[in-house]
Amino acid sequence: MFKGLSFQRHKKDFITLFFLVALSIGMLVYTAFSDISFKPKQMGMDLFSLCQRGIVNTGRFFSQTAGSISELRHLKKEYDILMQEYSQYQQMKQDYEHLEQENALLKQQLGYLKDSEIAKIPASVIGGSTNNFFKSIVINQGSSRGIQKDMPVIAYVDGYQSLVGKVVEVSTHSAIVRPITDHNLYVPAMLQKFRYRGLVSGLVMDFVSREASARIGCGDLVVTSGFNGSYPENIYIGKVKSISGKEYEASLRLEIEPFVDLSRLEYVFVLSGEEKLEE
Amino acid sequence: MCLFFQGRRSLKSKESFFVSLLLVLLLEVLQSVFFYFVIPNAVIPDFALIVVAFCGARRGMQEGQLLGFFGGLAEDFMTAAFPGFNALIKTLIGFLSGTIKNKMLFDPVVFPLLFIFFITILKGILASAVAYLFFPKGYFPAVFSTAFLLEIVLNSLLAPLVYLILKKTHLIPGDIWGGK
Repeated sequence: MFKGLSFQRHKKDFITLFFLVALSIGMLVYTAFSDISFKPKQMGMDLFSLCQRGIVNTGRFFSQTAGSISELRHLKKEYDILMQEYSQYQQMKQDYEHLEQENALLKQQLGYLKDSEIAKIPASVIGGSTNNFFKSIVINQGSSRGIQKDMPVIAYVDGYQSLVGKVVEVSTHSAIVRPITDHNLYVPAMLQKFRYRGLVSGLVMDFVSREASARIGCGDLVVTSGFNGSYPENIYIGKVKSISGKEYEASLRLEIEPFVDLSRLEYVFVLSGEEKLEE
Repeated sequence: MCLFFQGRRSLKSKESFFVSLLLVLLLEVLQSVFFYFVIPNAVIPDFALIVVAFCGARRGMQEGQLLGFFGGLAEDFMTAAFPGFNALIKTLIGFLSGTIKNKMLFDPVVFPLLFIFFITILKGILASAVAYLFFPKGYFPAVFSTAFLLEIVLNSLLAPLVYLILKKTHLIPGDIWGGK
């Protein structure tokens, strides 16, 4: 295969190879070991996100148009059912208002003056991984909307805040999110009911105290612990799928089934960290 | 860029290089969108790698490594990988593929299949080596995963089809013997 591959004969090829390899290694070392943002990557991300956005928007337009025709057929049936439900909700609304007043009164009595809520930046998913080595999601908002590196990303599943991942690269109009399914993302977590702590990476929760084995079981909920402040606490991650750990090991290993189905994710929220205060 | 193509190369060669480059970039974008929205949770075949390897093998080291570098760089820009990671791997693959130009018999099915099988394994080995040498501790690509094993199989099975398309579109020479 390498017979006749002399340097003299292929001098130009070898010089180009040397130049390209040196450039690649230079970029790799610069970005892997420094926190400084790499401008060419941000520009490239913006450029390719335009293409991704164009393809996704075109696809959505056609699928929504086709979907709307079949949707009309169902609307009549749904309308009748909804009218019945509406009368039930009227009653529930009155009950809710009554409870809200009662809640406000109780809060006042307990001394809570304000509720804090972390500001969320909505974004749409425009792409995913291009290879099997690193999992990633591309979203259509970037630094122009205040998104910064390391911000947590969530989605709502059945009304609950569920962790999607963390922002790892930001350009002006797009950002790359490393999802919880990637084994390079580490999330401090805990079991919601019994408060045992651990570290989730690649949908496996490690370093859970062996004492927990008698109390926890499959189906237990796993949430963020808020430890070291990288993620707000009590965001749902998933539920325990299986528990393992050898006799001689000091900790347990829990396999987790995520709440968020990343393959069906279309819209997410980036937690900006700024607290929005509400009376 | 003109430095890489001196006068003796024909305009057709330059054109086919730029068409191949556009194809590789387009495939990278489609890989990121198509497999996320249309076939979710699927193992992603590396079409760009297949094109780079075939173009290298049939058109030489220079074009193989340039296609690999720009294709890999595009991949780096669209994923959470460190910039330079995929560029380095695909540059080396493009160059190494180019070393077999005029030396191997290309049949339409078996050789493309076997060639891409070994090229994908080489990609895994190079990814592990690059990660070991240049990545911070605790950060590693998922080379030893079921997804990557399936990718090897998938790439190999798709290789004859991609080879046929590249040949029909004249992006690689249409003769049986890889070369002139």
